[in-house]
Amino acid sequence: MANPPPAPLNANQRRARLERVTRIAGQLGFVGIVEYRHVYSKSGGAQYGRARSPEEDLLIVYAEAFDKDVDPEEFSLTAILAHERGHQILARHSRIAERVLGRVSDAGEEILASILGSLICQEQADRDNLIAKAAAALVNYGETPDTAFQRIDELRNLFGESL
Amino acid sequence: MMGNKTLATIRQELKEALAKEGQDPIRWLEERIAVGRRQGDGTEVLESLKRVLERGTSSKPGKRRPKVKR
Repeated sequence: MANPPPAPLNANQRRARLERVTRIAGQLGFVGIVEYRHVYSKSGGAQYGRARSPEEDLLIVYAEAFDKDVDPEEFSLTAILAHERGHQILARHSRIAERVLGRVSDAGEEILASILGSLICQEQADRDNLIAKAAAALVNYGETPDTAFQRIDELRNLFGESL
Repeated sequence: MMGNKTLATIRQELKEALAKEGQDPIRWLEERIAVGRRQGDGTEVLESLKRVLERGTSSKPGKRRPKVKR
């Protein structure tokens, strides 16, 4: 059976959600168009889309991002948006994009987006959680914990120098 | 995309991976943090992971569920 749709929101509530995600995306440095769609997706809460120019890039945030934000066992809205901003950095940052584009798999790009996201979040818990996400992914791909954690450290240093 | 894996699942996966190293996961991290500090290496990633594993349900910054008065 399909999951039920999100609880209905009135126009003011939808606008408030859009304003909130737009504000957070801006704080994280996102450039482009931000949309809020009051539906459940299979994205995990948000999705970045690359356009012809950064100003036309698209960040779509879905209802589940707000569900997660109030769930203590889930990522915050800020962490979710930071991960998506990580994708934009991978695509748009001159030095980082040059090193990455065409060289990493989709799965690898997800890990790098989390690592970048961990560098741009203000809250320590968000940074911690995105590091954990990247670490678990690397370990699941067969890296030993030592190697996985060292690799994340190296990548954070590398990206940190460029940001 | 963030994907649908919950933070709780991620925490559990990390615990299981570290448990395979034959030690308590927190202890394993603490030992490497101690070594890293002695050697002057960065320990930020290890410390982050330690905090994530130590956190229970209060894992999110600034989040408090309102108490329901009964």
